[in-house]
Formats: sequence, C-alpha cells, structure tokens
Amino acid sequence: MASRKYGYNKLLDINSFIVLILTTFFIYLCSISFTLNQQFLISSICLCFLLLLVRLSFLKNKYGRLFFLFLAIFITLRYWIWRTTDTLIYTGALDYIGTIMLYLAETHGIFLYLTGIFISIWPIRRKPIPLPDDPEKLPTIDIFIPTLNEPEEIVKITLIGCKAIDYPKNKLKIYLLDDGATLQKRNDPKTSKEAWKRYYRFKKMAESLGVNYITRETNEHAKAGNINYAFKRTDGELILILDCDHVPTRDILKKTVGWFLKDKKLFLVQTPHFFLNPDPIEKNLRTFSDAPTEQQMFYQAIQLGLDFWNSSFFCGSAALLKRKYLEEIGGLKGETITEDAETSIALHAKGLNSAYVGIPVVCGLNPETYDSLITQRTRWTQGMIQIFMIKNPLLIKGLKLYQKICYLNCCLFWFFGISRMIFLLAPAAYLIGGIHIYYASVSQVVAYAVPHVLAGLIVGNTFYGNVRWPFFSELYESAQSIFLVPAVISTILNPKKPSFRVTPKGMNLKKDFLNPLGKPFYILCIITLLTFPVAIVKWHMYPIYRDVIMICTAWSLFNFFIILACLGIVWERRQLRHFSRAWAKGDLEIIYDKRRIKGEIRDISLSGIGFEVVSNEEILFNKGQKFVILMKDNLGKGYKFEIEIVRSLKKRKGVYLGCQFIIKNKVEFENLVKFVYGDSQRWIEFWKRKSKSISAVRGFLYLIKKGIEGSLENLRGIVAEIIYRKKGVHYKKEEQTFNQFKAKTAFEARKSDKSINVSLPIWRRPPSSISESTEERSM
Amino acid sequence: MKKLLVIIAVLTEIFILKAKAEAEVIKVPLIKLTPKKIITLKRSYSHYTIKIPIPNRWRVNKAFLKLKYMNSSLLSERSALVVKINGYILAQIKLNPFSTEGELKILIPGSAFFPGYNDLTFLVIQHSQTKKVCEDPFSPELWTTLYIDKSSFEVDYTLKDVPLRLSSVCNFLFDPKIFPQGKLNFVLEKTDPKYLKLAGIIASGISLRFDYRDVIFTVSQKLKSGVDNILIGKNEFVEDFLNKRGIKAKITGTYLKIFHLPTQVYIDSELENYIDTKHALLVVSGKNLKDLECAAKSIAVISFPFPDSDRMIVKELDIPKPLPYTGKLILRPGYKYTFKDLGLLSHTFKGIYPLPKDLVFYLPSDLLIKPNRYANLYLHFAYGAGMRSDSVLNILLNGKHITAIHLDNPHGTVYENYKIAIPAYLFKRGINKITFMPVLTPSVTGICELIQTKNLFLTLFSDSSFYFPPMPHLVDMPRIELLFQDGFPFTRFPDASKSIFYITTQDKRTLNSFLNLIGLLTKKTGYPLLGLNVEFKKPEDTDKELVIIGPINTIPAEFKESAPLKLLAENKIYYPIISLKGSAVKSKISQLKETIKKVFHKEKLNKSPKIAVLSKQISSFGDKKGLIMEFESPSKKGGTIIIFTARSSAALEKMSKVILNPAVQAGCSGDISLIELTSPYKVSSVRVGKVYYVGELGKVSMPTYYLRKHFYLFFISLFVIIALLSLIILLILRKYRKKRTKNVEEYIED
Repeated sequence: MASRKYGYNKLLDINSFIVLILTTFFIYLCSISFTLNQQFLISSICLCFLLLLVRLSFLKNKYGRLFFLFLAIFITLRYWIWRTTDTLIYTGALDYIGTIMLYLAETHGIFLYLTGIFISIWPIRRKPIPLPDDPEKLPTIDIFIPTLNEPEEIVKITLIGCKAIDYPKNKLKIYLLDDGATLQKRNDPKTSKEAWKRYYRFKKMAESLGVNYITRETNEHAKAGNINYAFKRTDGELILILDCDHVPTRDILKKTVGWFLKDKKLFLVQTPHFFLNPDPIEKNLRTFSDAPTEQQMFYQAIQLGLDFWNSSFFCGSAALLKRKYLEEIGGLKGETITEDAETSIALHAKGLNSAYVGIPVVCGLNPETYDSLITQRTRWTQGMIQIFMIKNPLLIKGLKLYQKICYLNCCLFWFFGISRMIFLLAPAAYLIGGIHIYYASVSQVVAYAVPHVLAGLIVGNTFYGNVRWPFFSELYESAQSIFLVPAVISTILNPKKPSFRVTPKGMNLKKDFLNPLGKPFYILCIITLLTFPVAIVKWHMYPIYRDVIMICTAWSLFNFFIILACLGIVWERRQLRHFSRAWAKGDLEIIYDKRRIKGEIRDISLSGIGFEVVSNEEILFNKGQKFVILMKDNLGKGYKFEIEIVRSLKKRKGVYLGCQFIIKNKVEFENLVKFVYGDSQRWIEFWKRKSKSISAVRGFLYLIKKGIEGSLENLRGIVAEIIYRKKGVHYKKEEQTFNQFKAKTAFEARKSDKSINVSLPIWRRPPSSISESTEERSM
Repeated sequence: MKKLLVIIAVLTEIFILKAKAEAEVIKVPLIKLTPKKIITLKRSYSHYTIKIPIPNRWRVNKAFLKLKYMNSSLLSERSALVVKINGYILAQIKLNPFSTEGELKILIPGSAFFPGYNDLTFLVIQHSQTKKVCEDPFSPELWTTLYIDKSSFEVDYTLKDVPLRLSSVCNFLFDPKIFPQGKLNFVLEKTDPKYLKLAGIIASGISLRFDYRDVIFTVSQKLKSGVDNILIGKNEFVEDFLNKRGIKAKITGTYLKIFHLPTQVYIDSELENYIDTKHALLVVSGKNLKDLECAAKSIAVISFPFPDSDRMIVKELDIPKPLPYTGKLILRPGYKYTFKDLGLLSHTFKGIYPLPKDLVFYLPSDLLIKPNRYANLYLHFAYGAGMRSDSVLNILLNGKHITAIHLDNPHGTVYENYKIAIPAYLFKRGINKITFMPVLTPSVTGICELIQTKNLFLTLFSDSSFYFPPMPHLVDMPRIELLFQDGFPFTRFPDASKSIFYITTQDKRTLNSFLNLIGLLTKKTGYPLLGLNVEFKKPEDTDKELVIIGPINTIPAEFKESAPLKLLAENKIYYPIISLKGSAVKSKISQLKETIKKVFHKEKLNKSPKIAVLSKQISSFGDKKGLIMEFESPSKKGGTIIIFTARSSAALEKMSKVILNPAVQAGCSGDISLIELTSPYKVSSVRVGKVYYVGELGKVSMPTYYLRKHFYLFFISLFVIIALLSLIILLILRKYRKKRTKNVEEYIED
C-alpha cells in the first residue's frame, strides 16, 4: 500500500514535472510575436478549431474538453500578453492612468475567466446516498431558521415546510432564531413596540407549530451571532441552516444526510438556492419565463466545479453543517459579514471536506425590488472583499493550492463593480474626454482582441450556455456596478467597517414605479448617447484617429444596449399576486358532478393553481364554480383541495382554468404548503425547463429587444407619471372608465379565445395600471 | 621689330592654343540641374530659380544657356521673360502672344559665376489682354511654361591649379558641385585584399565628400592623367614611385601629402615628365599596413578644411564605434530629434503660396512598424498678424495630408511644443518626408485692391522636434530595394564592419566595380565604411553579411547554387507568370486564402511559390546585362548574401556605373534585378526565392526564428503541446478525482 502510494506520488511528480515543462513551452508559444497577418491566421484557425470541436461530440470526452479549453486559453493568453507588452504606452499622465485602469479591469476579467476554467474543469455531480433503514443510525439534526424582520407569514410557511420533512421526529428539532425580538430591541424605546409585538406573535406561532423559539439578549454579530447563540444551546449532530424564506422540501434530509455517513471528515453539504420568484432584473425585463435564472449558473455549474476541488463553500442557507467541526472553530465565524464563506475557509483550512448536492431542496424568495437586490449584493460584495483583504485565501495555511485558486476566484469576482464601470465609461473617456485609453489599431483589435472575446463567448456558451445566456453576465454586472463601486472602495479602505444588512424580502409592489436608484443610469445613458455625435465629429475632424474612434464607437454601442436594459430594470413593475406563481407539471383530477375529470397542472402557488382540462365531453366551467381536486406529489402522497375558478380560457384542445385555493383551516394550509413546496422533483423539473441555451447572436438580439422594451416602458411610465401628476384628479375617473373597459374586453377575449392587449393610449392611462403583464396573466 | 612681333604672335598663339587645350566644355541638359521637367510660371509675377553648381576648381570662361519655352497666347505685349544670374539680368525678352513658342540662347560671361551655387532665375511679368484698369493677377491665362527637359546649359571652364593644401580634399578636390560626376584613380602598391580595403576606405570617404554627386573610381598600376589620383603604398614603394616621376620626396611614417599630378607628355615625339597643376596626386603612405590603414582612415575622415599644409603625419586616430542604425539622417526610434538635427533649419515661409519645406529622415529598413504607436511632432512656430482666418499650415507625410493647423489668430501668435500625434502606421521604412505646406491668405483680397502680402509669414523654428517611438526590428528578406535605400543589411552598422566584400577576381574592372559600389553604399549610409573587410577568396567568417562582386564565371558554385537564379552549367531560372508590380488590391477573403495557402502549401519550404515557373536550361548570360541577386546565406540563418555580377568584368564595371542612376536604383527590388546596361537602362526585378526574416523581436532568437520562418511548425508545436498537456493533465485529474471520490464512486454521476 505504501509502495503504491509512493508509486502514485512519484508518478504525480513526474507528471507534474512534464506539465511544468509543457506549460513553459505553451506560454512561450503564447508570447511569440508575429506579424498581424500571421496572428490573424493563428486566431482564425484556433477559433475554427474551437467551433469544430463544439460541433463534434469530442467535448463529451474529458480529453476533448481539456483540449478545447487549452485552445481557448491559448487565444486569451496571446491577447493578454500582446495587451501587456504592446499597448501600455505612456503618452501623458492622464492617458496613462486611463490606460492602466482599463488594462487592470481587463486583466481582472481574464483572471476570473482562466480561474473559472480551472474551477469548472471537471464538475462533480453527486447523487443522494440512501439513508440506512435503522433510524438509530441516523444523526440528530437541528434546524436553525434565523430571522430578523421578515413577515410572519413567510416564516410560518418555512416552519410548516420544516415540520413536513421526512425524518424521524425524535431525531429532528426545529429552532426559530428570532433576532427581531431580542431583549436589546425590546428595551430600546425606538423599537420596543414592534419588537414586543413580534416577540409575542412569533413565540405564539412557534408554539402553535410545535417548534422551538429562541431569542437572545443582543443583536451582536448579526446572523452569525444569532446562529452561534443557538449553537451553544442545542446539541444536534448536524445543523441544517435555512433562511426564513427558504422552504425545505420533504426529502431534503434524505438527499443530503447520507453524505455525512460516508465521509467522516465532511463538514458541509451545501444544496442550491432555488427561487420561485424572479429577481428584479428578471421581473422588470420579463426574462424569467425565457432565460435561465441568475442563480442557476452558480448552483448548476460553478458549485459543481468547486466541489471537484473540495472548495464548495457554505452559502448561508440550505446547507447542513457538522456540529463537531463547527465547535472546533468556535461556531460560525463573524469577522466578516459573509460569515458563511468565512466559516468554510476556516474549516477547509483544517483539512476538512465539503460536498455539494446539486438538487434543489429549498425554495426561497428573490429580492423583489432593485434596491433590495443592491442591498443584498452590496453585502455579498463587501463580505467577499473583506475575506480577501482580512483573510486573504492565498495566505491561509492549510488550504491546498487548488482551494486557494477557487477562493481567490470567488473573492476577486466581487471586484467586478469597478471593472464593469471602467468598461462602461472607457469609450466615453476617449470620445468625449479625449483620454487615450487603448492603443491599438483596428487590425490589431481584429487579430488579437476579437478572437479573445469570441473564444470567451464560445467557451461560456458551450459550458454554461444552458444556465447563463450570452451577455447576461454583462447585464447583471452593469446593473449592479454603479452601486457596488462605493462598496468596493469603502471596504478596501476599511475592511473592518462593513456591517450586516438584511435583504428585504416579501415586499408587495402595488404599482409600477421608477426605482430611486435608477437616476445614475439616466446619466450613463446620456453620456453614452453623447459619444455618438462626438464620434461622428471626430471621425471627420481627425481622420488619422479613425481606428480608435471606430473601436470606441462600437464599444459604446454595446454599452448603450446594456444601459437601455438597465433602464428597463429600474422601472419596477407591480406584483399582482401575493405569492408568485411557478410553472409546474403534474396530473390532477377534478371531482365534477361525481365524475373525475383529468387535468394537467400548468402552474401553482400557495394562493392558486392553473391547470388544463382536456375532455371529449362538453363541460362548462364558469368563474366562481367550486370544485375539489385530487393530486399526488412525486413522493406518492395524495392531496385534496377545494378550489374556486377565477378565470377560464378556452384553448385549442380544452380549457385552462385559473383557480384559487379555498383553505379553511390550519391543517389544510399546512397540506397546501407540503404539496406546493414539499416535492424536490418539482423544482428539478422547473430548472430543467429553464436550462436551455441559445446562440450568442440570438442572445445579444434578445438582450437588445428586452432592453428596448424595458427602456420604452420606463420612458412611457415617466411620461405618464408626469402627465397624470399635472392632470391631478382626472385620473381616478379615467381609471374607473379604464377598468370597466378592461373588464368588458377581457370577457370578449375569453369568449373568443383570443388574448387582447388591453391598454389605453398613454395620456389616458393612470400610472398604476400602465400595462397588463401577459406573463402574470398566464400564471 | 618685325621679328619681335612675329615672336610675340607665335607665343600668343601658343598660349591661346594651350589655353584652348586646357579649356573644357561641359554641356548638360538643364534637367540634370533641377528635378522638374516642366516649370509653369503663373500669375502676373512669378519666378523660378535653378541652382547652378560651380565647383571651386573651375574658372568659368563662359557659359551658354539654351532655354525652350512657351507662353500663353492671351498675354498682352507688356509681358516679358527675364533671365538673371545671381541677381544680374542676362536677358529680357517680350513674351509674344502671337508667337508663343520660343527658344532663348544666352551667352553668360564667366565673370557672372562664382564658386558655389549660382542662382539662375527665370522671372516673368505677365499681363492679360483685358482692357480693364484692374487686372486679376491670378488670372488663369497668365502663364509661361519653361521646357527644362529640352533646355541645356553649357559651361566652358578651365581648371584652376590645385592648391597644395590637404584642406583642399574637403572643399576643392572632392566637391559635389563638380558635374556631371567626379572621377578618381587609385594606384596601389599591390592588388591584394588589404590594399583594396584601404582603397575602399578612402573611396568611401571621398564619396562622402562628393555627397550627392556620383563619383567613378578606377584602379591602376600607373597614374592616370586628366583625373586626380591617389597613391597608396608603403613608404619605400611610394618614395620610389615618386622618384621615378621626378618628384623627390622623403616619405616617412604615417604620411599624407598632396602633390600636383606628375604626368608624362609627348614633346617632339619624346615622352617627357610634366607636372599637371590642375590635378592632384594624394599620397597615402605608412611604414606598415597598420600605419597605412591609419593614413587611409585619416584622409577618409577629413570633413573640415584643415590642415592647410601640404602634408600631414598622422600620429593617432581615435574612431568611435558606431552604433547600429546611425547612418545619415537615420532616425533612431525612441529618441527625440530637433529639426536642426535632421537638417531643417529655422525657415520663414513668406507670401501667399510659399514653397513647402520638407523634413526628410530615414527609418531603419528593418523596422517593424507597430500600428498602435504614435510618433509625435512638437512644433515651435510663429505666424504673422492680419492673415485671413482660412490660413493654415498643412502637414503632409509622404505626400499624404495628415493634419492641418488653423492659423486663425488675427493678431498672430507663437506656439511652442504644439504636439501632433501621428499614427506610426502612416510612416514607412526607409525615407520619410514630412512636408510643411503653409497656405497664407491676406485678409484683404479682391480686384483692384492693394493686396498686402508682406504680413504673410510663418516661421518654423529649428528647435521643433520629432519623436518616433521605439519599435522592434523585423523584416522579410530578400529585398534588394533596401540596399539602395540605406545599404541594409550590409550597413546596419554604418561602417560596414559586419559585412565582408568578396571580390572573386583581381582584374582591374572588377576592382573598379568594387570601389564604385563602396561609393554608392557610402552615399546611402552617410558614414565612411571604416570597418570594411575585403577578401579575394571565399570568406571563412560566416558570421558577417556577404557582398560578392565578380563576373559570373568566377563566383564559386556553392553561392550560385543558393542564389535564386542558378547560373550553373545547367541554369535554373524562375519565370514569374504573374507580374509582381501593380497587382490588383485583393479582398480580405482572397488575402486570407492566399496566406493560408502560403502557409500550408507543400512546396513552400524549399521551392518557389506557384507564381513562378522553373525552367532548367542550358543558356548563357548576355554581355549587355548586369545581375544583382540577394538571398539567405546557406551557412548563417538570417544572414544575407548579395551578388553583383555580369558576364564579363567590363559589363560588371559598366553595371557599377549604371546603378548610380537613381532611376535604376528605384527599379531594383525583390531578390533578382536584371539591369540592361544600355540606355535607357531598363530594370527587371522579381522575388522568387525563399523568404527569410532578419531582425530581432525577443530574447529567444533561434527557436523563434524557426517558428516564424516555418509557420506551419508553429501550429504543429501548438497542437502537439496542447494534446500532450491535455493528456497529462487528464491523467493527473483522474488520479485526483479518484482520490476525491474514494468510496463514493457509485454516487457520482459520470
């Protein structure tokens, strides 16, 4: 055994040595300078090869995947080396500062790209390990649900979901950790009233649901402190931490606990964060039904890669942690505000293992508004930068090199705010400000930069295309960058300063409105728009600089489309429903006139269900009719609910019925929660449905389309707001007239099975009912 | 009395005859003295000046100008053409609208000329036939055309006595004003490489003194009459040589002296020694070869009129080592040069259409110009007040307009460090010219207005500067045109210390050819070739660039085998089937296809590209042609060999004179240039041989060189390395994954 180990180590050493030699040659080939024609040829041939490899089934093979990645790395490294050696030219202090800033932003992006390739080199997909039949062999589990200021309703649903978990009840304890009703808050005159109310309500709720209620004396160390407080007062071998809006499925522990039994050194099993509702960007741009969600890339791709390198880290919720190892480090770390990642680093540094099970077993809520998204992302940014500044993964002893690379990638990613702002402003800096920031001719850009960008697109689309559409990363980063830049800078200047801020959730949006955070995007839009006439003037006035003008104008055009989309993002759309309706699949039966009529579920939420009935018989379904429906989840459990038809739409082969549940008591509500949230297969299918890729060209055109639609919506909304403010009282009458008109038209539509867009001309439209969301109508 | 008169008459006759015999007449077409074939003088007042060079050693007796012209038929009779020399009016004629063509024949007295550049000015005053009181001075019918190509200038001169001062080397003997060309004869103690080297060094220095003027060199064992001679030999040889010719001189040490040329003439059928005071004999001597070299270099570097003595004993000579790319007007990238450094002194442009001024410089021939860099002009200029706001200073680069400065301040102003950034890709290797072309408009214009032009001025100061950024050196070779540009690659080090001149035969004509070539190369570099290396046998040192001069049958077979045109027993000739000149602009796709074909074509490596047909033939090379071939050295990667050859040494010598013609130089390019040795000296150039690269881009030269040269090797290397890397990393990853998923493989999806 020892000799085999020795042989393995020796082979590894020889292989590593050969890799080192080959890598040296590889880098040497990347650095050889050629004429532009030759470089163009090199890039073209490599790109053609990349596209060819994508077409063939070569990539399914691991060897092919590596070959493909190295070819892409070659193109990028050639670009970066040329960029470093040939374009950093000093022509003046201001120009040079701009040049270096842009260069560093690009280098940051390239570093993330290369380390991203490293991370995703061989993802691990874990299957659930079956639990032993003997319950005595199962570990005890404490479920911690920390809460601060979330509505009771949301917390209640989560608690009901926890109660429904399939696990021996004597091995499971649920704890509600209420930081909104600490003694500190109850004693503070400013907050005591609300705190006391909360204290009584939540305590009562916990008691009624049979869960434990813990609150502490102070709010020290925010969420980490809250959990650590409970940690010391509980004794479960494993701890399941859930955010108060993360409703677990019934099989969450069945899917996860088994890994702890297999690996004694395992400290964490992380599962994906799955969200039923669209984030503000998806909602306001209406991409939720088309494109994969933002989180899918991290949880369906990157975490799988991190798992391969034993670097999958705790994301704050939907994870099981082993108490024994937490005790060794004194509980959750609280030096930074992303205590989750900080804790993972500390435990990884002890040589412990983590695992990632990529099955969505919790269902949570995305922030509803753009500013709440920014609050959330600001915290993540500050936290990860704190980890980089205070902990610095490169210097932590105990971490393996590959783990350091993984954590470095995760930390440095959050500097994207600065990089993205630089990319947004760089063309304007040249065209308007006259600052030379990029020294390259068009031919050099075509020979070096364009292939690098294309290679990145090809790689991204090939490996992440079904979880992240092209240019969506640019959109998300651009939408956040303006507000993350101050966060990044302030954290760099004072890493210990940032404080934990909870992401507001469960907000209701009664009407469309312009988010106050949207103003900077208008300024950006104006600046970018200004670059075009300036470019035209400069084109004529300075013919010798046409190369640079062309490059910057094209870049500005790209930025313009992104900013248009951002304008669409900051126009907050109202939320008609209290609970978000999600696409769902399944069969049901309607008990109709003592008969059972089959139906297919189309969508579901806690408030209602939409399904289609296909029947050869002439059955009349009317609004207001009540029925009982029978359904089964994928775990085989049967459910029975009473529903009332709210809407009926004739389809080609049947009729679609939009119904609301009639819930009469607590038990029925709990059953409903179990049915809606308890089945992980439902979330797996939801994700599968959204996991589809499109080409880069289509992705870009899609983004342009959404951007134009969103910004037009924004513009219309602002104009309507201005008009109606001027008109004052008239709008109420208009609204009544409009509502009557709408109702009549909707009835006509139902009869004729046509969807009619109901909208008034803008000057007659009150601001709160600007447009009907067809997406919402279908849900 | 009668007898006395007869004697006087005879003596006078002899004197006149002698004077006549000593007088020389040169007739040159006027186009040899000015670059323009046709000059059109427009507007009511216009003039054009031709500089007539009169060397110091000439005494002009008289000159004769023949000028053909044509004037507009719409001129009034008040129009006139005036010819001046140095401001003195030689002739003025009325321009006849009824007889528009004319020929002017003017006898110019010798006293009108002075040594130097004499201004021959053609001035016109033109009036139109309009009856209006005010006429438009810019009226288009006001023109007179001078046909310079059909005009001629004849000068009758006698040579002055050569002053016996060594300083006359600088300003008398070797004077660029001597036209049509200079001539010099070398007399060597021995015809061996070492003496040839000395002759070459001196020829190089003399060629520099002659500047732009061609000079023909010859080598002989005897002094040549009618030309200046240089005698090179050790002390004993020189002393003996001079004694035999009636000159008693003690020659010791590193010795330089100027004599009047001792020659021999027939007097009463007997050969008598005679001293020709109109020509010089320069003696270059030393105790040994080392001293001789010192003396040769000393005479080569006399660029200053000193010493005034007739002899010089050289004690020591300290020659700095020249850096590469430091020849005449060669700009070293990365350095800032003032306009004064580049030969453009402060200049004031005056009037409405002042003549433009050029800033001429050379960029190294092997410069790899990066398109994303900028060269900077920092201008210091001032302009006058009261100019109209549409006055501009146009700046052109190599004839293309690149920018303009608006001179819109009505009060005039001064600019210092006015920066203009010019993209580097607008420059080219070799000669570049930045032209400053002001257009100054008076503020008041109009018919019958007093148009003030005295305020129209713009002064460009010589402390303006130019900076070209540093760039790497890389050029694809062979390129004969670069030789005629700045001697590249043989004068990359301007003293030619990294080159060897291999003369394949020792006959006089070949040696003459060698010296003419040295003169040509020196003119290109502007630096004396003090590091010259000459060989009569195949050089052992393969580290240097090689210049081979000799008739074709004397060139070793191994060089002929490597040459693009293989003139062996069985000649291998490539006939290009597509003309390389004036090819149509290709689309990007076709260029890409061609590039791909070039890279991957099987025949690329050692054979010619498909555009040339290989003909193996038994044929011969005519006597009326010269051949220049350039190719990569078979013994040194990246090294260059150039062969100057012809069928015979006579043809070779003829070629060495013909290539002094700028039109012939302009026609030479590629790797083969075939030159007709009879007028009009047509040149046929092609590029059919292997391409190789010269220059340095990075620290690793040999592998980089191979990969650049054999482009397909780069791809093979890349794919092999990636394939191997992928394989080994896959093995490492597999091992790691196995370890990572130990005991749980069944629960991990593949």
